[in-house]
Amino acid sequence: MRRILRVADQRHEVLVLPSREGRRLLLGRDVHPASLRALGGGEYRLEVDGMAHRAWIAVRGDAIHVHVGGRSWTVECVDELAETAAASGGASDTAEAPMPGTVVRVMVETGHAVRRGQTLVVIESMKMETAIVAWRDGVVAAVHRPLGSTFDRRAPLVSLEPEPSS
Amino acid sequence: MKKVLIANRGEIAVRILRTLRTMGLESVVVHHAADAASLAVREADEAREIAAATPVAAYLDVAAILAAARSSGADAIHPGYGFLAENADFAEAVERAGLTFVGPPPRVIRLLGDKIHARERVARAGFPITPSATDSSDRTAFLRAAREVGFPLLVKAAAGGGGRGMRIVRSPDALEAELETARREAERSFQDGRVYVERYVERPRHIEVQILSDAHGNHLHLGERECSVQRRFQKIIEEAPAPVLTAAQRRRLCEAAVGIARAVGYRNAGTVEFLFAPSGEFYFLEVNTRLQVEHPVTEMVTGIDLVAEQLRAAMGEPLSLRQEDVVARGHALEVRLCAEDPGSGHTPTTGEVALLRAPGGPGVRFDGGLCEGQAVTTSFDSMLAKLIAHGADRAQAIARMRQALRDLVLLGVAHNGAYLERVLGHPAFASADLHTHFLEQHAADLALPGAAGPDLVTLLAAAVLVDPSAGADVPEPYASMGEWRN
Amino acid sequence: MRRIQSNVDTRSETFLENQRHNRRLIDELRRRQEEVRFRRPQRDIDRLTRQKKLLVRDRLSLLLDPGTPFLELSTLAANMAYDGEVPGAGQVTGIGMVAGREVVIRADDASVKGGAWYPLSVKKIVRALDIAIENRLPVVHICDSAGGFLPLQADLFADRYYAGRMFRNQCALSKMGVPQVAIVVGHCTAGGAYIPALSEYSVIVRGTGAIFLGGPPLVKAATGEVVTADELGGCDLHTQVSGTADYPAASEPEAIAIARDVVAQLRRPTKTDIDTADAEPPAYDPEELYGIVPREVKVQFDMREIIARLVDGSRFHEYQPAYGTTLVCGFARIWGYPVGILANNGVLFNDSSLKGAHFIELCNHNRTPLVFLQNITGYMVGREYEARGITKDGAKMIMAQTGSVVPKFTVIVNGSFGAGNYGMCGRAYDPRLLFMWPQGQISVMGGEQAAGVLSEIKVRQLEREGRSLGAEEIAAIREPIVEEYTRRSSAYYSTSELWDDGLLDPVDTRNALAIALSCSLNTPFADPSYGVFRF
Repeated sequence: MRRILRVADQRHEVLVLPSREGRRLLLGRDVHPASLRALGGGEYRLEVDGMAHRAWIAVRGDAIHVHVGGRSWTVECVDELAETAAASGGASDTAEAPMPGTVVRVMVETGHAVRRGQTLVVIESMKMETAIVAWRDGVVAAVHRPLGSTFDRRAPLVSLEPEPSS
Repeated sequence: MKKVLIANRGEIAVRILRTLRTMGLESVVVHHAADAASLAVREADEAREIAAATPVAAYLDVAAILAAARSSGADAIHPGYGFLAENADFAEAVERAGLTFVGPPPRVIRLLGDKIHARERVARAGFPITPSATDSSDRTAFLRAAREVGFPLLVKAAAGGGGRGMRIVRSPDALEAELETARREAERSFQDGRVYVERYVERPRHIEVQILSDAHGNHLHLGERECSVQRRFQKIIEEAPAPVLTAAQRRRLCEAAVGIARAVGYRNAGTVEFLFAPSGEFYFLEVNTRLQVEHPVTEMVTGIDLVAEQLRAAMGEPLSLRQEDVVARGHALEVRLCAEDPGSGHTPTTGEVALLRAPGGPGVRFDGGLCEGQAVTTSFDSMLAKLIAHGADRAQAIARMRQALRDLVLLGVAHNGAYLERVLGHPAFASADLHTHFLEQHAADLALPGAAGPDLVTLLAAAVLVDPSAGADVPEPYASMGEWRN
Repeated sequence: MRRIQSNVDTRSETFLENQRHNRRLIDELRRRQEEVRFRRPQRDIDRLTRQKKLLVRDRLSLLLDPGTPFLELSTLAANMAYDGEVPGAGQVTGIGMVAGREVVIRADDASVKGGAWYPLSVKKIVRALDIAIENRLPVVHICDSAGGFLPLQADLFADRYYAGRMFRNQCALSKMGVPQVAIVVGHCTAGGAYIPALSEYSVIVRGTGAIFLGGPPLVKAATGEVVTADELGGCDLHTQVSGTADYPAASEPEAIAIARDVVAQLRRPTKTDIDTADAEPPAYDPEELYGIVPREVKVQFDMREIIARLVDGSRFHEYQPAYGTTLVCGFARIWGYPVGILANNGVLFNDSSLKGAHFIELCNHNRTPLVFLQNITGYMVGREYEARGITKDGAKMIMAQTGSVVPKFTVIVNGSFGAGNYGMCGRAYDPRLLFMWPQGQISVMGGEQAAGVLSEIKVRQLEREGRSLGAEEIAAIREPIVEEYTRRSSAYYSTSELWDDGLLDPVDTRNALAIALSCSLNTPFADPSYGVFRF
């Protein structure tokens, strides 16, 4: 299994494979036999390349906090799929109507900075209100439908300024 | 005095609680809802929540604190440090409410809180202050006086303290603009736009003297502390005694501190801060009319419980000690553990205390108000805890501190523990070649290296293997075959 | 289980000469594999780069779990066909790990004739899907093909095992509950369009991926409609409108990452419960195989020396060690999997045939997979043996072998001639996988004999026409016959025609068999049953 980890700003790919005594880590071309045994209370006995260490580990979401070798570190787990998707960019800049309906509220204007998850417009369809939320942080490029207007399925509703390509 | 309300939070609230308990006094803490699960609230006999718009506001709400004191039957209030500790109006309100304020009388707080007046008073009493000029309505005269002080000079806010609102000006051209900025900042921070300038001493040490005074006109000192290792005027590492003072220098400094205490009619515990020039001259800076963050180093070398002495003084008892009873033994260091990222300019960090294992061993003291599960936010100061180490000599204290820092497990929020350990390991620190710009001077040496080599492998191994399913997903014989190709 | 005691003298002249010879053969194999995998005309590489496409080998390494093996199949398919211009038959197939699942991977190689399907491409695809069916392996298709190669359509379209079989196999897999994931990174035109359509899951790359029955030129010709490939069958059309594809992706790496995530959702198969053990490397160095296999196909050698370098700890429980000694039978383990091995130590006699049939039955009842190590010139001929019933004894062996319900695997170590090929589980007998070592030969009879027979016929024919031939003339007739016969009985010809699943470096055999064994356990073993044995 491949794990993508970040320590400070460094990205590391680690492969983990089982072995009879514990597990093996592959870092680049190097193989490191390793094992980890929980001692309770967040403490672990870690063996890497035949060297034993005391370690304390706490996992909070994607952050793995590790105290080892007299120092505390935070290691971030990176989701492989999310990373690839982010690298590909290309996500649409426009929210399209998921179904035909009417615009019942417009919460933003062109030029507004919006945060991911912020409601842009609310539409009503089949007696149900649906909030169209920002799918990423950005700046509103256009609100395509004014309040009260009706639209068909897949009609563009709100566009964000294209993301600067990294 | 039977029951003391602590108008503070975090490590200092816990620190005060411990002494109250040993003295058989009951305790009440006030707290904001954000601190409801804090160690201080858990350890206190009683806790009173104060509703406020922001967490900080709760600890500044005089009326609510007094109401809590009344409702809980407390007869004294200990303000700790920060928040209302040096607020004369608060001290006055406490006294008006018929309660004991654990600290100097409001008059003294007010006098010493005004840095300009304090300096004048000290100078009048015949103690050295840095050449300075004080802001006045005649801006042109002030500017001229300021130029006469000489460059580089330091602009300070009259109402400032703790390094806030200070700026260095190195050339006459920049002076006017810098003064304006300083006034604006002072106005914004302290609602008092008055500033003053003083000669900036290059490579100075910051040395301060702990004083203790009772209501009966007895004043004594508990020796000095050196707090030269600072970042942006914030103390990072403090120690006692100051490592380079000669006996004569120490005596002069401590006697000056006691003289100043006497001159202002001081009561309770306080700290007289001095700037110590490489030449051996020293200048009065200010008096902090409260318990200092770094008081434990004095406690460690003198064996005196400063909070207990504060409470006794507040009760009106005469000092239990004479000057000759105060004997400093060995050497003590304190480091301030802060929620900050040394890797990116010491910017504040947030998180949740996921795991906490305080270090121990001979001479090691951990003053923390932390508990696992506690959220660390930017609502309060970034200091998480203090670590204090005492040794027979400075080298032993340093060695114990470094080991304690390595042993400290504080996970969930990035902190400066490893950075502090690196500072303590620097040869210039070992040889006590200190001054207030020590950290800037050695910034390159002190930059924490990232994980590399075997350490990196160990770290990644820990991070990966903590998931027991890691590596279990590739079945045999594929797992053992490796990247075989035919 | 006893360790085989090797009698090989690794310092002997014979050993060293064999080693030099076989290493040369392996170098040649490696060189040819390398070319097939990586050597392409620059213009083809440039074209793919221009189209923002990855090369198929790069796609593969993104797809596979890093640090895990990949058993590539039939790398040298079509190496002796189409003037050698269609390396690998334009397909990459193999078995590997994706998200911890054992899968068959089938990928079009767009750097070969735009990924067009030649007759041998179709054969390779059908074979990959057959392997998936037999071993219940999910399939990941990487689709980037121009469709069937029109000039050769008669050789790839209509027959039972031609192109239609690919889609038939896809349906068969689906019906068995074995899912397929198609990653559309290029065009899926005409029949090719059914590959994603018949897959349970499909991912398509915006911009480069397209699926349609008729491409833009064909549409224009048919209806006059002018339409771009993207409009006709691009990512957005198929993932938003038609529902032909499931997941849109902005790039090839993202598409592959999505496919990996899809595979990670697939349920893990329950393996057939056989008595596995911890793996142990052979006690003898497999590299010594090079010194053991003789330079000449007709030189006899002890197959136990081969077994000693393939199996765990070189341990081998030999069955009937004193009876029918030209067929070595016995139990061993490969990467911890139990196997029953049948290996030729000479021509098959009556007793060796009966021993083989009996041992096969034992393995079926013991649920032990079978490994056939072929070095066989055939069944013994002659009056005495016919009288003893060599044909019916050989038939018994074929009957037992064919009726086996445990998985079978075949390695052609050296010669594979005549009915020996049948008894020892040749291609026609559905071994789960069949590999060949590069010096191996395969034909109805040995090259020398066959050439003798063929030239004899020719000479007689000419003599009947009244011509008498001198020695030189006879040689002139004989030589091209020998040459052609040798060519078409070589391992390279076999693998070109997909008579096997690939040529193996002997030292790779152990790993290849282990992967094959692991795969085979996805399918439950049936209860033993046989046809009628002639006694």
